[in-house]
Amino acid sequence: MSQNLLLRNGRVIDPSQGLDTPADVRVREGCIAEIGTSFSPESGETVIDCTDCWVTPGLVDVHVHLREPGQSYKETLQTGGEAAVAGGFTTICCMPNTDPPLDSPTLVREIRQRAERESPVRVYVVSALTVGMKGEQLCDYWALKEAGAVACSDDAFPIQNAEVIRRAMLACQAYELPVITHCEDKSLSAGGSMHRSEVSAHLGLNGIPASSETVQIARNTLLAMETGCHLHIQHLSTAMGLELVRFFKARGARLTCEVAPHHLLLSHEACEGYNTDAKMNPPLRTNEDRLALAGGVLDGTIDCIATDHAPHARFEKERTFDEAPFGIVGLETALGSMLLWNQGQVLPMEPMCLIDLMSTRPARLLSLPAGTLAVGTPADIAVIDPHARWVVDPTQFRSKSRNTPFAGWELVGRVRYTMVGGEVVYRGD
Amino acid sequence: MPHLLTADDLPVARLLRRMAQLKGVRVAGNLTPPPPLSASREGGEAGRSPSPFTERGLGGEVKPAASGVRAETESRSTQGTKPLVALLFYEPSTRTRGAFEQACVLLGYHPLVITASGSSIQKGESLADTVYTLCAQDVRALVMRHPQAGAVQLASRFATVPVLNAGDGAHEHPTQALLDLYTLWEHFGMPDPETRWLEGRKVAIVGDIRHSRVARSNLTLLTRLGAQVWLCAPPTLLPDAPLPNAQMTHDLRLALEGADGVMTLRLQTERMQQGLLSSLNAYRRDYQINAERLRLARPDCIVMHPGPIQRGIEISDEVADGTASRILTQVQNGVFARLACLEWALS
Repeated sequence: MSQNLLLRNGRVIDPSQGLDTPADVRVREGCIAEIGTSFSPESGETVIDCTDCWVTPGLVDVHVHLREPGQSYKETLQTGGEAAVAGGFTTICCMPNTDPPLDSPTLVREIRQRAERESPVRVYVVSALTVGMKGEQLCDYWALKEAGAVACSDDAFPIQNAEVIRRAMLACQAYELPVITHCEDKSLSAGGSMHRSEVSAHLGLNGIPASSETVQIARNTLLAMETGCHLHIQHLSTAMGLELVRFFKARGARLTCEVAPHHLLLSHEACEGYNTDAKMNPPLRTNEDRLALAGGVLDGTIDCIATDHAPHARFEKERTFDEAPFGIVGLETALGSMLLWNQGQVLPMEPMCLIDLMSTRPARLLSLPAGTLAVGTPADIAVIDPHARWVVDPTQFRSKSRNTPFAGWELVGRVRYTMVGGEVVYRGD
Repeated sequence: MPHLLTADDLPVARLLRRMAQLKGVRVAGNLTPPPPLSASREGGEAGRSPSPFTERGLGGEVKPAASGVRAETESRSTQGTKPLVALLFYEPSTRTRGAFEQACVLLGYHPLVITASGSSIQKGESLADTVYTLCAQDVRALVMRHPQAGAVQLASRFATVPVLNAGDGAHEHPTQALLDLYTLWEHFGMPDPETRWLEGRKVAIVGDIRHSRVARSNLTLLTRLGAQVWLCAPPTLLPDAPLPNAQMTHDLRLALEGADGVMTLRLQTERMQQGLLSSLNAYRRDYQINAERLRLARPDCIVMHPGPIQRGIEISDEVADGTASRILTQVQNGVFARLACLEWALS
C-alpha cells in the first residue's frame, strides 16, 4: 500500500519541468501532490529526510534483458526488477530476445501482467520485430501494440536483409511504433568476440570491426528516412557511428540513440587477460571512440543512457572468451558509473542534464508515462545521495547475475530511496 | 608455481642452456627416470620432485645418482606408481603431443592423455570441471592444447598445478617458439644466451600469420633477443592490426631480403573455403618458399617449419629436403624443449 510521504529538504531536480531547486515533495495516494518549500508534516504522513540528496524522477532504462520467459537462471522479472529499483530505476523496457521470443500479443500481455505482480519496477515490453526474431516474417504490429508493446526490436539478432527491415519500418510507422535496432552487419562481425584492433590481434581473437556497426547505422537510418519511421539506435559504440547519427539528425531523420555507461567508461584494453566480464556486443572500442561518445552525450546528440543490462550465469562467463556469451549487468552500477564519468569530464554536466539523459528523455522517446515529478503524476521517485562513494561488490547485487567489469570500482552516488507509485520499493543504506 | 601460458613466461636463457645439456645427456644415453611417487612422498634426497638432470653437465658429464636410489626407482617405475602429468588435448596434435609424452616419460612421469573426443568433454563437461577433475586425480602438471585463444589462461585460474600451454587458438604456442629459438641458437653457434644474441639478425615468418599462434609466440621471443622480425602473408591472412615490434608485409621479397632465418607456416586449406584466398595456385605463386626465392635471403639462411608441412604448397620439395632445412632438427629439439619446460615447471 502506498503511504503519504513528505520528502523534505532535498534538491529537487526535474528536467521535465526545468526544476532544480531546494524543495519538499509531498506524495499523496501514490501521486505527486505538491512541490514547495517549508512544508510541515501532516498527520499520517511519513517524513523522509532528503538533506544533501537529490530528489529526481525515477530513472528510466529503455534497454534491459529480464530473461523471462525461458532463462530464469540468469534473471527473472522479480530479480531484474529488484536490481532496477536498487539502481534508482522505476521504469524499464525489457527486450524480446527470450526463449521463446516476445513476438506474440499473448506473450507480451503475459510478461506485462506477470511483471505487475512480480516486479517492483514498472516494466514495458519491447516486442520482436520479426517472427521468432528470425529476420524473415513481419509480426502483427497492431496486435502487439494493443497488447502493450511500446516498440519493436530484433535486438540481439539484427536484421540482415535490408528489404525485410524496410517493410518492418513501414508497418511499424503506420502503427506509430518506434523501431529499435542493434546495428551490426553480421557478415562483417562473424566470429568476432571483441573490437577489431591491435588488442584482438595480439590476443589471437577474431575482431568485430567498427564498420559492422556503422554500415547498419547508415542503412537503417536511410530506410527510416525513406519510410518515415522513428528509429532508435541502441548502444552506440563508435565515433563514426556517432558522426552518422549527427549527419542524419541534421537532415531531419526521426532518429534517437542511446549509449551505455560501459562504452563511456571502458575501452577494449579491458578485454586483456581474456576478461569475459568485458565481453559485450557491441564490444568495448578504442579510447578515441569513448571520447567521441562523451562528446555526443555532452552536446545532446545522444538522447539517453541505457544499460543493456544483460545478465549471464557464472558458468556461462567462465568459458573461453570465444565461447562466453556477450553482455554485462548494468542496472545497479549505471547511476554510480555515470556520476563517476561525469565527474571526470573537463566540463561536467549539470545534474539536471544527467537526470534528463537517464529519466526524462528516455521516457519521452518511447512515450512512456515516466520521467517527471509533475503534480498529479504517479510518484516514481529516486532519492540520490550524489556524494556517497561506494565500492562495487557484485556479491551484493540484487540481480541474479554478477557479470560486471566494474567489480572493485569506486563509484560515485548512491540511491537512498526508490519509490514507485508512492511506495518505497528500495531503501539503501 | 610457474605457469607457462605465453612465451613471455619462458626463462629463455636458462631453458636454452638446459636444452643443450639435455641434448648432450640424451646423446650419451644417460637419462635416468626420477624417483617414483611413493619415494617422493617420503621426502628426503630421493624424494625431491623429479628432476634427475640437475647435477649433470653438458654432453654427459654426469654425476651418477646414488645407485641405491636408482635401483629402487627402476623397480618401482610401473605405471601405477608414477606421478601423473595430464596432457589435455582439445585439438589434434602429432608433434607437440608426442614430444610432451616423451618428455613426461623421460622425466619419470606417466602422461595421462585426454583428448576431446572420447572423454567427458564430449559429454559437455566444462573446462573448469575438467581441470578440477584432473587436479583431483593428483596430476603434477597440466599440458593443454585448445582451439580457442585464452583457454589456457582460463584453465590456469582453476588449476592447482602448473599449466603449460601446448597451443591455444591463434594466441600462443610458447614451447614451439622455444624449440624454434633453440634451432636458431644452434645455427648461430650457441652464443651466450644471456645476451641479445639475435641483434642484427633478420627472421621472416611467412604464411597464415593471422591464425598463427606459432608466429605470435616466436615474435615475442625473437624480438626480445634483438631480432628484426618480418611477418609476411597475403593481405587477408595478416593480423587485423600490427603486432608489437613486427614489420608486416604482403610482399615476400621484402620479408626474405637478407634474412638469416625463415619460418614457414602451414596453410590451412580451409582458408580457401572461407574465401580468404583466391586459390592454392596463387598462394603457391606468391608465397611458397622455394630455392629461387631463398636466394634473396643470406646464403647461410635456415628454413624452419613447425609442421605438418605441405610440400608443394608453402614449401617446395627442394627446400624442405635441402641443406637450409632444419625441419627435422626442430622435431628433435621439440622433445628437449618440452623436457626443459616440464622440468622447469615441475621444479
